[in-house]
Amino acid sequence: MGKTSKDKRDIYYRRAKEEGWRARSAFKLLQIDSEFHIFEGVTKAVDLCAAPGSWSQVLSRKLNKDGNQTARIVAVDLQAMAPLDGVVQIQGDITKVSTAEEIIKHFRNEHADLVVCDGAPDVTGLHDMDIYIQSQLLLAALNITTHILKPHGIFVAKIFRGKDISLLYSQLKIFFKDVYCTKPRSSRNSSIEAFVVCKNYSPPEGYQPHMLNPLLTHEHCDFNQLTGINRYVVPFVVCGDLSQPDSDACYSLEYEGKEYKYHEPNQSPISPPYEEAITLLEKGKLQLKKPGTSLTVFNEPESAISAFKEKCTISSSPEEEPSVTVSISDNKALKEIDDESK
Amino acid sequence: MSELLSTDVLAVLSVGDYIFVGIGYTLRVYKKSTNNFISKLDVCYPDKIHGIVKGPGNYLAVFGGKQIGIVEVKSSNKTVLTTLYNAVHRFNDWVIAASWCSSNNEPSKLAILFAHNCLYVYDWLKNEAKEFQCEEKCILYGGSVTSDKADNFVVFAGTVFQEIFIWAVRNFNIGEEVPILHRLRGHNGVIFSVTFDPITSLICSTSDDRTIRLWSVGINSSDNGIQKWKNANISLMTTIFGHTARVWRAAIRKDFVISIGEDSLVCIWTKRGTLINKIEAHHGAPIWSIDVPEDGNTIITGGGDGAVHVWPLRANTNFVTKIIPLESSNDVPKHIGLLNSTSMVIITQTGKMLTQNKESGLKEVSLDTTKYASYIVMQISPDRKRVSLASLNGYLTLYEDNSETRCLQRVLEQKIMDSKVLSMHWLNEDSLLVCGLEGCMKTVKIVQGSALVISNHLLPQSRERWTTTAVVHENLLICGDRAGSIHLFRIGDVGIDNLLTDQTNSCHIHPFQSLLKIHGRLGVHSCKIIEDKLLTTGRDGTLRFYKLQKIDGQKTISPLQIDKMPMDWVSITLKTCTDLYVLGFKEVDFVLYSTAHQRVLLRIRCGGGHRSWDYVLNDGNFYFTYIRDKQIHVAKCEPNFLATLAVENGFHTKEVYCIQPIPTSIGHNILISGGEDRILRVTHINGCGSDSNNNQKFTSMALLSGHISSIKTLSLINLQNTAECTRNLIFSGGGRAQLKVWLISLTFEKNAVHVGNLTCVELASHMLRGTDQQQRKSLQQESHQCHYMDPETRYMSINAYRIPRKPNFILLLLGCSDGFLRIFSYDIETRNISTRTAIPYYNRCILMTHLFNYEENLIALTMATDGIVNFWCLNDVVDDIVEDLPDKDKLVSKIPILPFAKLGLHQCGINSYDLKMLKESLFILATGGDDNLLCLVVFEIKSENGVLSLHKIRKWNSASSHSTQVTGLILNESGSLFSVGIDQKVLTFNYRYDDIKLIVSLVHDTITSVADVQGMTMCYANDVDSTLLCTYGKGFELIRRTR
Repeated sequence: MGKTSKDKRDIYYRRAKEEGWRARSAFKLLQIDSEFHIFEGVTKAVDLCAAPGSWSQVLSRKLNKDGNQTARIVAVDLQAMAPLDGVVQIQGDITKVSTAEEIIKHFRNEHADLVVCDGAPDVTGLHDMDIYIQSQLLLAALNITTHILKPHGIFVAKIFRGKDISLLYSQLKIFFKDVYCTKPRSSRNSSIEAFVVCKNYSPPEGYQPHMLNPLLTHEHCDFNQLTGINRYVVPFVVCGDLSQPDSDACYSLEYEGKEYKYHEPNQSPISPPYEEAITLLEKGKLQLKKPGTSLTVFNEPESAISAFKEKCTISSSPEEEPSVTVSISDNKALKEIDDESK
Repeated sequence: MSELLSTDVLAVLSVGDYIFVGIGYTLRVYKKSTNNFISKLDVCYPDKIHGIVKGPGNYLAVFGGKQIGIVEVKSSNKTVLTTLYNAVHRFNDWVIAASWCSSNNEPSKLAILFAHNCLYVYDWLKNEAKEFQCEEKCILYGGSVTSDKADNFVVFAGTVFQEIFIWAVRNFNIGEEVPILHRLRGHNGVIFSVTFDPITSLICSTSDDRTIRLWSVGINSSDNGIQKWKNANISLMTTIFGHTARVWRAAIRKDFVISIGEDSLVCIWTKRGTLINKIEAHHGAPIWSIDVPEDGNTIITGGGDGAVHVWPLRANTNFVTKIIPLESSNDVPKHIGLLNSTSMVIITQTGKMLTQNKESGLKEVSLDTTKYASYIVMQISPDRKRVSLASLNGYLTLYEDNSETRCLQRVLEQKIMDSKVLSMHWLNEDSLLVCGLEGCMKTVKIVQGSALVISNHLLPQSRERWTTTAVVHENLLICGDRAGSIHLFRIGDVGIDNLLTDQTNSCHIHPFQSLLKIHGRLGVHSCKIIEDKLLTTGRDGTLRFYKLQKIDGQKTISPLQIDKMPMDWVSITLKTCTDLYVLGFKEVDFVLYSTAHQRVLLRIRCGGGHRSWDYVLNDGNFYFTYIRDKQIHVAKCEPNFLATLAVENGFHTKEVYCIQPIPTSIGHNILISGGEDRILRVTHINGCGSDSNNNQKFTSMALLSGHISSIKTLSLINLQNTAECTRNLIFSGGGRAQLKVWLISLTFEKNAVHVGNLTCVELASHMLRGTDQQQRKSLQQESHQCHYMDPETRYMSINAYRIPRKPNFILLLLGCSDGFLRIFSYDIETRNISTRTAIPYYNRCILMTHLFNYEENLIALTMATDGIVNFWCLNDVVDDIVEDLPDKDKLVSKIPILPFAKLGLHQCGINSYDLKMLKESLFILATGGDDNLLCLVVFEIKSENGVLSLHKIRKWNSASSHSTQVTGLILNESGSLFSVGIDQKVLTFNYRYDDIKLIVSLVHDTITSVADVQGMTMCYANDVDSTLLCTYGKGFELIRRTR
């Protein structure tokens, strides 16, 4: 498989690179806007779970037309991300009241017109658990939204469609007059991903925003009540017309008569959790895929780097792959050794 | 009602001689000593069981999603009864872990840890809870809770933010937030599990960062209760790397740490982090659950393939190797062979022949060094009683093992060949095949101390012209050669056993059948006859099967399936009464693979295949001897090292995209399935419908590999369906625009299904743009261009249609992801796949296609991501195939084809459909979309002067039946519509069309435990009043709907 195969497989991936978006998900927000006009009259917008920043990019380009910095855009994420023109970044936790306060401060103590959230959790592959955690992420986003969104404001967030989705719709319906479920054409057909577009924010009378999980503060939820006719049904709208490319189709590299040029991805992946494992293996020339291969780091505080070097042995017996035993004081020391070996 | 389910196994627990397994919402009980299923109980409907915790007395806490059920277990000597104590308990938050209170006065209390980092101390008799919220409110992915006799609870919580929290409670005031006692930092990813083992005083955690970390807990012995944890000194002790993906869980048992991960590995470590064993456990599927019973002998795992396995904790490490020294230090062994488990024969570099056994140690055997000093070929007879040697100048020498003196005695020495003997093979206890220079082959029979040449043959010309293996069967001599070919020669009319004189006249010098280069350029390695099949192995990493069949009175072979082995160098096959082992080499390892269990049972680091080696299987002991570094090594493996029986069988390791039942005339359920794991499976469902209390089981009959990308779609053409046999052509397609044609036939013996009676053959394989090799070649020729401009399409849907006017031809309709509707033809006789036409379809990915006849017309339906159903008339294409012009270029139709009708039914992709004819020209079509919509349309097709038209008559749809995309639909004759979606709801509707109205009503709903449902099909219900639905996606489930 060549490096162009992903370009052929996914037209939005390719176009995102060509048009300078940090991720293909930018098209999802653009298509949601084309259907729901969520950017109309918006001067203050918040992007929750913003990294790598493609939705912030969309907000920046759409709200600040002709280069005017008229709109204020705040991007919140736990991770740092590359700076963006016209976007204020807050590195913070959306479950903290202090983060909400900081956002309001950027809007000169005014509330936002629009809150968007494209955040997704670390998926495990267990669908029930992934759907549950995504719903909790959405509720956390809803929670902070109740602190920062002005009445009649708009909230857009990613959801995973699963068997308990009606429960989630009911929750959103308490806070918004109009709730829609939508799927942009740039979102793949096979994906369980969809988006809720919640318009006309109107919290229940006397509602005090808090950071408790709204699901947990309610009475026991009976599964049976949520099936059949009692279930709250949310209209499902597909956004983006058929002139938009198909995210499931394979396109020729010469699509639309334009000459093809390969583009590198705009944003390389953020350091993955297994980075250390990968680095260690490259240095130790170990392949964990092989049977019998392993590596152990003893995190004994007293060992020094010199001691590590002495102790670092590659053992090999007839029946076992070579295994490296490493003793070091901590991970920092290990990195220093890596540098030395360069 | 769910009748059979195979999906992720998230909970396993061993108690005494029983194994409890949670599959879907059902708790299943097995007897550990026999692996037999005992009973089952639905506990957590509709949620999946994520954990089973043993309580005091006979209670188990079974949890999943937001529910906990208390199950009482009553065992008698024959059976185990499980009952749910009261109703299941529902909570508002996701249960991460549960633990029983260990204080004796509170047997009805559970400590439950929830995903929002809070703890309930819950009295399940009174339905009362005390709630404790940790000061840090965050989502947990994993964790555990322990309790002591004084009702102190300690929580070990694993967060998304790479931290482990330890917090403890004891009669804390409710409402107050509980402070964190320790924050353990070190992991670089989400924490999936944290457990504390009080015996070793270690905390063990696993993470997204692919590590297992062990934390030492220093507890001041004078401290008690919570104080003990407050003052504990906790530090990271060991970080263990060994998994190649996320590590889900780990257990500490005595001196071992056992970890399981997404990479399908079970790793067994010492507490110091030394790897003891890695088991490739679930064929590539993630392993979700583990239990290590307290006896410390076994490990139980549950995987993403739906399988449950029991592993010996210390197996595979059980082999002992020893080195046998030679007396003379300047001589080295060159050839070795085993006469039995304790005695071997050795030929040294200097041409000495030695025997070695327990009783008499190393002993030299007299050998004519003038003949054998510089060159020797040695082979051991199949009964391991004779050793044959062949020399540079064509001598054959035979030694016999004298059982009394335990000595080798020379019984024969005779010049047999005019040239050097290149190779020699035992054909049976007293016949040999000897191969000399220039392809000269002789079969030799040992009769009363002399060698009698029975036949002469000539091996066809090749660069390295010698045989590598040979076998006889009736009057056939089957040889494999160094060039990778298989040749069949005739020996007389009755076979070698009945020949006593030189029968060269009645034998064929030349082969009458040859399969050239079938095992690639590195050669064939073994031939074996098992029943009516020939099995060959070679250095192309494959095990190949052939059928032996009589054609015009002469037996010949025809290729059956090819199995890719987990080794590059496949040496031999070894049949036991229950299994077929395959022995070979993977890089520097000797590998023993079980075809019954489909896994590697043994690996010995011997240095690779280029050496002399031998094996003996004796009373369940496996002996393997080899020469490495000029020394003789013998490895002995203890009995039972091969016992890895499955408690529950596995299915596909990843998403299943398609399942098709094979038609059988006597109601057997044989399913063919394909999916993301690229394997085509043939599965037999045993005993469905006969007795609902029975344990319905399924067995894998065949696993067919060959697809290089996911299998998205299957289509079937039945060739024969009688009480004796079903024969079917299977067309499979998917990623990388790959299409394969298979012949799958099954014969029935007294109506019963046996794996041995199934034959699977790959008939043809086709890639739209040729193989990778061909692609690279053509790219090199057009050197100015660096990328292929055209996309590589995925075949999303295939329909096969046998053309009545030309029954040898099958029309194949392929819905492609690049928006083309492609039509191929397949010739049953020549096995040729030819492309006929490609109809562009506005650059929309086609998801579903269907073919049906209306009067004399062949009509195709296509459904794409635009939500439109298009109707095409394919009569011209059929005419084209029937006329079949000899010139290949002419075959590709140039006729522009446009749909004759369109129905816009959905806003976006159509993921499922079914079509039924209501009456003449009147049809009903059900479609399910990615827009959650379920749609039913009644339409009429009219034909006027050969022009087709469609009239929509009635339409019904429902946006609220499913809350997610609808992915499976079935319309049955008796007016029922079944639907299923990603929301896992299985709905039953009644529909009725009475010429005016289309009335649809929901009559039943249930939940399938299959996540990510990709579709639904119907199986034989074997009962007129019910329907057996099969949902598939992440696993599969059989659900019976009784009217």
